[in-house]
Amino acid sequence: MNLNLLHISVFANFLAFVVIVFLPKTWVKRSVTVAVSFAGIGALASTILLFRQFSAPAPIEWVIPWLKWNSAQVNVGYYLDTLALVMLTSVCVISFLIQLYSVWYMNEDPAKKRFFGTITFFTWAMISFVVSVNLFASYLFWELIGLASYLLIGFWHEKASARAAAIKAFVMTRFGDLGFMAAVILLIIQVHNTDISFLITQAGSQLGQTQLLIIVGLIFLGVMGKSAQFPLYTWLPDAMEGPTPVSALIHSATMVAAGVFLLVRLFPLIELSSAGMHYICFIGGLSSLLTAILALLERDMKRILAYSTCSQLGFMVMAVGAGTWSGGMFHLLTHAFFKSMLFLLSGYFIFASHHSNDIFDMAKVPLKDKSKLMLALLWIGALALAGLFPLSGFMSKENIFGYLLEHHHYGIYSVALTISFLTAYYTSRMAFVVSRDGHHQMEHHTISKGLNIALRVPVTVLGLVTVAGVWVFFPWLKEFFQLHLELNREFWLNFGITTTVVLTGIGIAYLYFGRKTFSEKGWVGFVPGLDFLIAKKFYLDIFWNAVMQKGVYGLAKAGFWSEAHIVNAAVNNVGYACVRGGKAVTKLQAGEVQRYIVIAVLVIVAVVLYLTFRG
Amino acid sequence: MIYNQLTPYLLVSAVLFCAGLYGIIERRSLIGILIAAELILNAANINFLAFGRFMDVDKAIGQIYAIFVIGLAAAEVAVGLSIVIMIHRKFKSINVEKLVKLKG
Repeated sequence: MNLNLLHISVFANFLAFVVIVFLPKTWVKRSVTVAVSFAGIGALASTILLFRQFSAPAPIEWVIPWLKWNSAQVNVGYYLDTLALVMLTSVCVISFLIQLYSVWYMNEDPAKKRFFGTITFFTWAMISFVVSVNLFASYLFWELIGLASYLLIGFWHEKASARAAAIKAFVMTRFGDLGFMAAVILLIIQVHNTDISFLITQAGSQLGQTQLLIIVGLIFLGVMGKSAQFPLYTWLPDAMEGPTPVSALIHSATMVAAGVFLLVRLFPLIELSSAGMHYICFIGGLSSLLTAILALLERDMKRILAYSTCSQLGFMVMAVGAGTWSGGMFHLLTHAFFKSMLFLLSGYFIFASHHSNDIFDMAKVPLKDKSKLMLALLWIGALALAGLFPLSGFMSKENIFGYLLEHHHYGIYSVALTISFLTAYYTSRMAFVVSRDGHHQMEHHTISKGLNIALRVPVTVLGLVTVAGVWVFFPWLKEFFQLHLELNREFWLNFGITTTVVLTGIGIAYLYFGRKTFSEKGWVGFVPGLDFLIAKKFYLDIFWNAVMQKGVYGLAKAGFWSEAHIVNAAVNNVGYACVRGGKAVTKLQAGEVQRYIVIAVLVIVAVVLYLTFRG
Repeated sequence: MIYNQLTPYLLVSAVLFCAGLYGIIERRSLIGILIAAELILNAANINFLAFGRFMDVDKAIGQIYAIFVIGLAAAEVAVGLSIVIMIHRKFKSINVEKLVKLKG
């Protein structure tokens, strides 16, 4: 029964994809119905599965042997323990809600059918990645996720910027994927088995410390690409070129979540390499800090959210690197819900300000033209992202802080506090600016009743989860994630510190953006050099452009040279040698009988001499 | 006596053979080549007769072979000359250095 539910939740989206592919071109509305209803079935099945399977002692394993090398065996199938189950359900549910929202958002787009086909495919790839039994198969789905996100980011391919963003996302993540692929190959060579259950229990003891470090480093390279860590994060802000529902999906439960999930999935293996853990922690903290700084001055609402995603992902990676997989995973879950909600809301506000992404344009729209519900949800999302009690973001962040304090990681703790402060500042800056009352008169958009449901239901559900979800499931979550939320002295100390920091961030944002007069840059303008660095994006884009243009182009040139002068030359010279040799030999065929006779006689003489003197 | 030894006969035949070979290689005219071929055949004849005479075999065998070769030579000349005539008709020449139509 549980296995059947799992089949349904995995293949519902895939089935929708196949059906949409084979529907006639003109059946646009029906393809939307198919996508949303199948995704709904998948979400329902996975939710039922969550309740039935959550506290089950044994994971669901369903294995089909697939490829076989000498002694290595690759299987496909499911490995569904509680970790994968929690992820599976959140992916299914969030994807369903986003598809429902897309009914409103994509209503007037002529290429709806392609959109829904790709988005169901995307969801399926992510789900399959999550439940896959084998790391090799996981890798294949990992690549499919990359492909699907490429297709979706470049969905409006008429726009040059969308094409460029899609290619950038693909290339940058491919950079990391190479590392993941190398890690899988190394694992196959070294331990002949890439089953997840084997990797997280036994593989570590068969590997030396150096091998382990190499493998962990390579896997983390994949994570850096997918989860947008320094220095590969530059694709993520540009990925905003895609339709807003796609951004919501990429930034919450799929794509970027895949990297963190992989880290958590292989945590028992990664944990064994302490050098690897330090590295992961360092990179996570650095990306989190840098991208949080980049968000301080951003005016584009979606880009603010994108940078905050980078920052939060870095936060999770840092937590995992510090040694708490559950901290990273729990934050990934809560973040998935409120971040997808924030993105969906940004879609609404962009619509309300007549297709401008700029938060200061949104500020010009009169308050009566903005839905009260949406504003309330925006504040809930922003405060959850900032980590304010009692929202879900508070719980997951507090859990990480509690762990850091308990294990005396004071350095990381202070970095995390800084990030928390910056996050509180820029998210509430965004919320303050968007919810301002402007005087710019514009004609009023109306949304029909059916579409209004598609717009309001998903965000409301996500908002409810953000507010209440954690509290409803608290006993379960506490048991599974071993939350560091005991009500002792340390907890209250920690609570006091983080809440003060967050409130300070919000307060400063209020001073600059919440009052009647407001500045555009806020306090960042007073820090010398900072706005310059932010404008230059820490030179990272320039760096990668240089790498791509000089490095890769140079490599291509070198390849072209060796092609022309070595490979081609070798082939051509073989040809020339044959032609010349042939011409030399044709001279024998002069047609002169007597020359033939001379040759024949010489050959006979040679043969006779040979036969005579052989012995 | 010199007549009762094998070597002088073989020497004569070798000289004759070499002369024939030289003629085949060097003569320009097809007729000359045919004549040179006759020389080679006769060198072979001398060999047959000499070996028949001095080896421990039936004396008739060498002579029978010699007669066969003479007959063969006659036939060969007949065929060869007719070919030469046809070539002369077609190319107006029997100079082998000009008959190079079969070159590669």
